[in-house]
Amino acid sequence: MQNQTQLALFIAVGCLVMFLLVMVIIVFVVTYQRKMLEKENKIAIIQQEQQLLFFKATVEAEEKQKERIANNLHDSVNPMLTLLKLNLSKHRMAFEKNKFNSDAYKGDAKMIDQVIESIRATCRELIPSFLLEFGLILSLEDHIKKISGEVLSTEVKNELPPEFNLTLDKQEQLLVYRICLELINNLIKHSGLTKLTMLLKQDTSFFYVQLFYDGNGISNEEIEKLTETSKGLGLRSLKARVLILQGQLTYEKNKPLSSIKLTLPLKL
Amino acid sequence: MSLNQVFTLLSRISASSVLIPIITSLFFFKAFNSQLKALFIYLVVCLVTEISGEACIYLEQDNYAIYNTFTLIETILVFYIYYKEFNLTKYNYLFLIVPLAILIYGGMRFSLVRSNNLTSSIEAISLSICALLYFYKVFVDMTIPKLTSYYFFWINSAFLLYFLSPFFISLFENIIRNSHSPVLNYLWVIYLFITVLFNIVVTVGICKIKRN
Repeated sequence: MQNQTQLALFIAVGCLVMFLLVMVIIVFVVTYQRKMLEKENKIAIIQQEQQLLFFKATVEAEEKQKERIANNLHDSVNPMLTLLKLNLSKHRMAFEKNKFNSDAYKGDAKMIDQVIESIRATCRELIPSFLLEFGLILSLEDHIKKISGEVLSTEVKNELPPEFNLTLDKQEQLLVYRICLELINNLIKHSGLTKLTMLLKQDTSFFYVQLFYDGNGISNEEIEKLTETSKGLGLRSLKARVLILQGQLTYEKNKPLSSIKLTLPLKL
Repeated sequence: MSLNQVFTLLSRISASSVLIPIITSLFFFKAFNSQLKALFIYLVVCLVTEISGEACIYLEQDNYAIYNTFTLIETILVFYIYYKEFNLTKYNYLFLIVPLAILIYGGMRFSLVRSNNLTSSIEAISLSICALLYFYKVFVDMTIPKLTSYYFFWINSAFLLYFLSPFFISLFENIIRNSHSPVLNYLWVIYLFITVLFNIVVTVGICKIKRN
């Protein structure tokens, strides 16, 4: 009788344990899904914040560029035009008095050339004429050749097929051009490089611009930290531009050559 | 219907329930990786063990050797399934050492005439710990967007239920056997019910596998 009571107790305990186990699994699933929802919400908030930050960086970069143009026009073009206006009225008065000075007139004509050149330089800064005329690849190659000097030796390796057709519009090409220039500028400023190679290549779905350089390399993690902590706009606007193009920047720190790879999806 | 007849009927249902995940596996077999192939082999071994066990009873022979061998094969296969799922880099050797220890111990205590209860208890505890650790890992990693859509969640739940059950039974089996009570049958009913539940839950898991 005692044994039977004991057995009944075992069975009851067994059933209870199994029931509890099933309940524990159900509670686990519910808790997990709730925590996952919280995590997803957090990620969404962070992404929103990041997008806002990128947007802010883009707007700030644009404002800074406008400011630069305004300063350029105000400090160089405006004084020259004011001086020209003054000189023109002087020439008119001299002409009326039959005291016209042709040398002074020629000097002013030269000043007009300077004004034109200054405006051209501002326009070039906005959209490089070379890029409009010859496209991204040749512009990049031209830029790399231009920066080559005694301290820095540069090289371009173009592995793109002859029939390669970059499916980016002018605005997107300008973005890529600016990204590459910013990257090269950053390398010159911070890495202490003496050798720079630009590799252009493609596969079935991506177009790559890869910069190989000696000097101090930087990794993905380091650049991520730097972007978060940096007060400057450079790295953030770089990230924003890459994001707009739906591309990816990969930083690899290696010896003897480190690299930065810009990957862009090809529109089919 | 007598209690014995009910018990026999339930035993048959429990034994044949393993056919559900086996047949389901055949539909998904192309999408199976090595881990799921091990699960499939395990299910087939379960079926073969059940049939051989029944055949031994029919021939009035002891079937302890079959069940003791099954415990050892089960240890290898289920530990392999967990080894594949955990995919640890640091403590991977544990998935070799623990089953190896169980195999050595089980081999030493192997008997043709009695059940190797202690080995199956140790195996059940180890695999229950594996199942619980898996839940812990899932909770810490938080990488599965919808838990109930992931096949291994179901397989793990099935193993957790299945291994905790014989653990309790094997823990009290000697006392129960010595009691010579008909209530023993009720205890086995729980075990048979758990086996059916295990096969159903495993089938749900297999159905969650994405076909290529």
